[in-house]
Amino acid sequence: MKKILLILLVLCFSLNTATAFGSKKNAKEIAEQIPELKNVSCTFTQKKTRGDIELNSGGNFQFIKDKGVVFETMYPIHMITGYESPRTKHINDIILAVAKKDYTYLDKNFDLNFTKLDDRWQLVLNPKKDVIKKHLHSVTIDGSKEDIDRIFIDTVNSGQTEILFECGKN
Amino acid sequence: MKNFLRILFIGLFLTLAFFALKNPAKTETNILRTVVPQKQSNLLDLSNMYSAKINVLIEGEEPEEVSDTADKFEKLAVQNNLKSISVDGNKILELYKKSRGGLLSKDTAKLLEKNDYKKVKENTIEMIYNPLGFSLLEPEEDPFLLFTDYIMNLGDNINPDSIINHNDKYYRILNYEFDKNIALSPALLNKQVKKIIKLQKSLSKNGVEVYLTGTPVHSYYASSRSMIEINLIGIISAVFVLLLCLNYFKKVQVLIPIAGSILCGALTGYFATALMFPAIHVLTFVFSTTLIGISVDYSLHYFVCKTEDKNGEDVIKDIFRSLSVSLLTTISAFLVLYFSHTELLRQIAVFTITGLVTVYLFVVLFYPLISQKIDLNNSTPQVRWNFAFSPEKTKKILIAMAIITLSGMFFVKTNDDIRSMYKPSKKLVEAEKTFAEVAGINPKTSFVVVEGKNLQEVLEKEEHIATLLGNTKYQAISRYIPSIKTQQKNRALMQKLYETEISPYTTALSASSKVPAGDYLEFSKENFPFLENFFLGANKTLMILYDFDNPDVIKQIPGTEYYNVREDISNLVKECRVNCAKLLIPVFILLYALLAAIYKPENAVKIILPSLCACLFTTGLLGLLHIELNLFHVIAMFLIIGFSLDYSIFRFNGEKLVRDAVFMSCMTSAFSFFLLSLTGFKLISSLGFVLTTGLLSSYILSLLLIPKEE
Repeated sequence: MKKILLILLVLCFSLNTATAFGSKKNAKEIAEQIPELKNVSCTFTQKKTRGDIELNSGGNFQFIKDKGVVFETMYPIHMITGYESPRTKHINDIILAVAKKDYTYLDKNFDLNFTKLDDRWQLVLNPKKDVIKKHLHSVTIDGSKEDIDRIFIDTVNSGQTEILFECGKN
Repeated sequence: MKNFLRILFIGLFLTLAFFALKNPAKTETNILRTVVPQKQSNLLDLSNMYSAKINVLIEGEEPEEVSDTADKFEKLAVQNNLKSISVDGNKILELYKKSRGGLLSKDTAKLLEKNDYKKVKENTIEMIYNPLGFSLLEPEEDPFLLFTDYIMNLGDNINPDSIINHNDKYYRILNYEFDKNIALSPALLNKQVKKIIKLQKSLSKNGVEVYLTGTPVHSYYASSRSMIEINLIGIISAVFVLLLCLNYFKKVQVLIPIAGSILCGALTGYFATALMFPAIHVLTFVFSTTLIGISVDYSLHYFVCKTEDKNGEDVIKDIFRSLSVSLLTTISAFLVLYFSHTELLRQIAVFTITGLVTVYLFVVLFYPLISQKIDLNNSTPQVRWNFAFSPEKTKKILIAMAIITLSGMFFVKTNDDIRSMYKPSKKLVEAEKTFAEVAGINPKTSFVVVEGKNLQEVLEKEEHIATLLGNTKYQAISRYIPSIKTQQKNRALMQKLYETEISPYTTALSASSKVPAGDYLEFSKENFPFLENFFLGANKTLMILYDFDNPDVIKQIPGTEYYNVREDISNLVKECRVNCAKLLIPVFILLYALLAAIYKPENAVKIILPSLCACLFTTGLLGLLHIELNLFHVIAMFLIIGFSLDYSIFRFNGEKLVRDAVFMSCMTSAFSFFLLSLTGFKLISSLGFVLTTGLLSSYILSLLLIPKEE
């Protein structure tokens, strides 16, 4: 009886870890699980960390499903970074690919890890290609239901960027 | 004597065949070669740039479906010899890194030239705070993020791997290129495109549509459709000629010498053209099929006059004058084409003249021998088709034709756009339109060809041109590899910035105040294979400009040539059309002089008038039907003269029986051209329509203007 209980416990633990720590699946399977993302307007706070240096900023954020993201940084400087800017293009393309479930693009460029617990989900993208790997460790997108709550970008040269969103649907 | 001439004829034919087949001429399929002279080879190179490229556009309601289909297409495309156009980004980025000391984006270089360091620093801070921004180098290596700025500004707007949203639909674009070996062989290329089309059809399902665009796709559809149509027309025409001859001569054997003479004429025409030109244009073959129509006249003329009581030699004696004058006038018309500056017209002239002379000699020398073997039973010769019009009817028809001609002349419009010669299917047009919209391709593209003593001089010129372009978007090698002069200048600007602005920000990051040393970035095929397409020669490159409308500023720069391919080709077509139209006048004068010398001036007017009026009537009819006059309509006028003058000469000279030959000849030719006018290829249908109208009207006019008694 004890043996059976032990086996059951091991089985339960395996299942939990598989869900909690994510499983490496192909992009198509994962894309099917990602909820449909909606257009949203939010406020955001950003923390960029590199070694001992920490830079904080914040402002307004907009996600337009078919086009991408727009950040209006309000402090410490004012600037608008739209999806058309060449400086944001690469990360914007990744977010768009997730939103559009463009798994050909995702599969070509990233190894994906997707986890889901109740309404909360997390997608971790690890670059496959050397050209991306040399500059980007990973991109993590956390969400609940159809919203993105957090984006964490871990770069090779520019440290880590954590962006938190406080959203109200459009 | 005649036997000697026969042996000489065979000897000459075999000698021509030997030399022509020893070094066979290539077949030229590029339609632009018909109007673009060799000295304008840049224009041909530009138009050939996209000849092996094929674009695949996948459309769907849901992005997942599009992505899925793109995935399948990519996997299957590899099996079909399609190689995707890709760039080894990692390798290139490493090369750029090594030379980063001389690389600045256009905007940053401008700021540094103005010593606007404040703005440069503001930009750096913006890049640091940019939530989605990142640095390609450690901050110590690139404190102002100038390298990241340079690289980020290099890219295009569309990521080749991503899905595009357009008009509530989702798209993926895949770009492919065929291997050069395949691209250079039209047969191989068509075979490969056929496989891709099969793939397209198999993946276009469940709400997903796969579109194919690009030159190879157009070539495939145009050539497959033309092949079906030409084969069908060939069969229908052959059946028509067979039935006509059977009806008239009651013997099938009569077709054997006719076919033999035409085959002999066509082969000699080919041999002579192959010996005189390095490559024969495919349109020369198309136009030269009209040789059949002209040369069949001689054969019909002979067989109609060959009665039981006459031997072959007597028949030749009777018709010798008519045949010779007809040959002379046709040769004169085509000889003028030889002196034009258009290679296609010169080839047509050589092909047709040698072909016609051969058929003429074949009829004169060999028909008397051959006809001994054919029993025509033409014992009771009588005219079958002897059309005659009363003076009143003649007057009415002439007035009607004059009204059509004159009124139509007011509506005559010309169109020299070479694209109007070919009308693709609706589906292909739609695919091209959607592709251009989704890919954001600006239809107003122009080119600058830049030449210099060495590549560095070329790059410097390109950079100078770039400064004149304002906000115009462009593609050029210098965008990816600046000249060494610019790299030196950038290095100096960067060094000055570093020295002046060793700010707390940079010191905090322990940044070096020296611009990194490193080799200058230089072009090599191994490192930058994707830039090879910009080269038209070792020291000759290409700049592609989008939506640029001030070419005059570029045209003044020595060593550069500005091209707007569509406009330039249209101008060349126009030049060719005008030159051809101008040649029509000397052709008529020459023919009149010839005919006047043979038949007296007043009779020459009667003979030449039907052809002249047929040309005018056809032009008027085109105007009345709002069909825009193009180069090929004008070329067709020469063929009308070549054909129709024979009708008048035979009618003027001939015995009554010859009228049957003229009628049969007109009917066979007009019927063949009528079928051609129904084809989908605009160029061929233009020719077919004009020749049908021209031949029928000239035949009717010859009946009206040359009365029976003549």
